Amino acid sequence: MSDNPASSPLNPSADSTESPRSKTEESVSPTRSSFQVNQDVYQGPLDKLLDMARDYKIDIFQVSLSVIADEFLAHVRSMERHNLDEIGDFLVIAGYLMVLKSRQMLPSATEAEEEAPEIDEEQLLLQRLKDYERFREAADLLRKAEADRRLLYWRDTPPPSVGQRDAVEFYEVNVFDLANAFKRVLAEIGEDRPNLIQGEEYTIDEKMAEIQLLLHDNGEMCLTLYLASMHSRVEIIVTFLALLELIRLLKVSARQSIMLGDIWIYRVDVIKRDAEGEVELTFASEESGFIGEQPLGEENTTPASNENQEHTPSQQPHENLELNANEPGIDS
Amino acid sequence: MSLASILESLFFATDEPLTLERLLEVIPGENAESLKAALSDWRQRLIEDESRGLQLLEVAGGFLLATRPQNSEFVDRLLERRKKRTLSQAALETLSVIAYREPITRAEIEAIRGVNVDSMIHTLLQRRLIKISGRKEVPGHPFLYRTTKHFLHHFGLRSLTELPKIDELSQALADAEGRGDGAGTEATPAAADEAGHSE
Repeated sequence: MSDNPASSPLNPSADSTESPRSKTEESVSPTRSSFQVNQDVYQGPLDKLLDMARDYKIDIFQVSLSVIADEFLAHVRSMERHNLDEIGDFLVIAGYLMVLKSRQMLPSATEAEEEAPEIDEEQLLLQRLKDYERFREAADLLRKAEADRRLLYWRDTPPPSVGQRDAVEFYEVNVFDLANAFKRVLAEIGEDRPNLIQGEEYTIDEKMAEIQLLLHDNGEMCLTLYLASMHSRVEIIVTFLALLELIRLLKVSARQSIMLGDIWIYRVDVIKRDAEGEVELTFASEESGFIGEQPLGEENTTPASNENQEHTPSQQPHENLELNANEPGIDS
Repeated sequence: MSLASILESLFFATDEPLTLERLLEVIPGENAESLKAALSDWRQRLIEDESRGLQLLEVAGGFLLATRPQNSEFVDRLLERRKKRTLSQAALETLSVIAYREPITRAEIEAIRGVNVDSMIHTLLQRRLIKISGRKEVPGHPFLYRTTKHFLHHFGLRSLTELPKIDELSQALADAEGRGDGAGTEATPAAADEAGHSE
């Protein structure tokens, strides 16, 4: 690895002693320590010091670990933002250095009989350090791969079937579509995250509030993406129940643009009833004037909607869903 | 009709990696050899034509149409809400230990990294970069961990064998740094037959 400042896009003028070595020498690992050891026998990054001490290229007795520790503390205090990785790395490397040094301090104290295992143990430690270095390199490689990957985009949502999504005809979603969507997510979770169930408690009220909060800004969200952020079956089941309840209360509506496509959740802003007593819902995403102005959780009722609440048998969520389904012509 | 034209339509219309098998199903009358050749040819033409903004990627499980890295600045701006999170140094180190030594137990990872990796494992599981693949037949029957398909996808690998050998890492790193152009051109079409990451 050549120390060539010109090759670093991050820090083209990297030659001052203060400039982070991670940028001049290893531009692939920006979170590596910028801490520099500054002693008579050695000047440079801490992990290089470990390398050299390990290979006996440097006499560890000439290096004051306590001075290094003090300098590092000063360095930490001068950091604008504390970098936990860097601090953790320091502890690990400094710990290894202390082990190396203390081992070398006790060579003659343990004579013949203990010498053999002593060496073994040291070999073991050195091997572990070497392994660890390798994996640090592997991590650098992965970081580079990740950075490359971040420059690319590909489809991760179903493409719209015709032009923009707004222009697409939507199908109302019934309770079975919803249940299927949840089932798919549950099946996936069952495979990949089996042991993450305990610990958290979710309540339907909380989830209802969360969904409404999420809908507060945009008025719509993709159910699949929302569920993908969850980690446990319990959370997903609670979300399902919360969503059913919100639909029953006519607070939100669920639709999808293609059969078996992603289900979208919309905030319902206005509930109207026309002359025939049919219910008409207006969605936040369609009435731009309402976006962000509607207080969260408040009943957005027109005079007719009180009646509507009575008209709608609130114990039967199915009926609401069917009511929605009878209203395909909401394309204001 | 040109096979490339059909392929372009198919890749435009889908949102998931298409495997060779799947392509053979939807393009009747084609055989694997000619399809592979067409894919390889099309990929090459996409790369060579500077006016194109797309490239054909090979990822775990199939092929995928993706944007060119040179245009990322603009796509980033367009899709601001989808900014992807990067992994911390500690997470990457843990991942690399698992990738090179899988299946591996938590204690074995800790022996190498020298620190507790509980929370790290938790994070990696949550982000679906690793999964539990069983229990080790030793006292206590600890969980064994493996990397996932999603891991390969995240880092643009076709399979774990694509990682350099652990002894050749230093060289690979030096190469990676020397290679300025970055992503997208790494995959060779010749490897189409090993696209399936068997789990």
